[in-house]
Amino acid sequence: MEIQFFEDADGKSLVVKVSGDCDLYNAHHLFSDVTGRLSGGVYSVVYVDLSGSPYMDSSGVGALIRILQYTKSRSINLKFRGIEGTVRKVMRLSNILSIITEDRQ
Amino acid sequence: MKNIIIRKLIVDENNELFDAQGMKYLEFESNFSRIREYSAVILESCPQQFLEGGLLEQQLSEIIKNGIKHGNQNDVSKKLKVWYDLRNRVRFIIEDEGRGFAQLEAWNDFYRRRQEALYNNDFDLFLQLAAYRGPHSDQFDGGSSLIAALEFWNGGMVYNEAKNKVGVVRWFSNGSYQ
Repeated sequence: MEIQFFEDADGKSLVVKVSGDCDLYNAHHLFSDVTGRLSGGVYSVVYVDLSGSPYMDSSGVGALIRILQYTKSRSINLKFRGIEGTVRKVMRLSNILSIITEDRQ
Repeated sequence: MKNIIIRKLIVDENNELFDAQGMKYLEFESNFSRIREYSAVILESCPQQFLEGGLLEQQLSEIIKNGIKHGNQNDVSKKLKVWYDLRNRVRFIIEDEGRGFAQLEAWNDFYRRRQEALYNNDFDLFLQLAAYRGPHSDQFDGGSSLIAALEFWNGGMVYNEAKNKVGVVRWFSNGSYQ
């Protein structure tokens, strides 16, 4: 899994682009990397783009839930992009699609 | 009209899902780093239409992970036994050598509260309950594997009395989870 960060021009929005499998071997990095980036308190909006991730398991879903909890507790607006295929099916099975906001560009 | 759906993990030693007659058998050492590899080996001969992209491998890996990590405590000297049948539907029996899933009833209670929060549109509580954290959960545990499993294994998910053996089956009507 690769995690890339992109800032918008005003520095208030952050895009987190996830590529590759997000699974039991690496999902904990997703949480720590994202929250590490957010800990400075600069961003008001975060977009997590999963379009480059073909596979996610419960560890990946758990990382997303923990990011959701983290951002909510700090009033950061969290939105998701590119939830498709198997990743979407896993998130639907895990019953968390109802508590996330999707940004359909 | 909105319905509340509360599923449960059940214990039934004599359930037909534990009938291994005619099933293939493999056993693996409890090597955490090879979990997805084990799933791939088991599913080598699986008909394409049952794979559902990577969904079947993902769900099978979750059960194998539970057996290796939570059951056998990653002790490579302990075996994980897998019976499987990939004809017409997919069925697995997976047994570890651990002490069993002692938190099964606590997990059922967690899941009931989670579903009630969703039913009541209490999204703050639902988010708090989105993932299960047991006494042995760590950063590698997502806490949602059993939630998804109860949905995915649509023909049943049953534990034996010792709670170290689980039987699951997924039936297909139109070939894929939509």
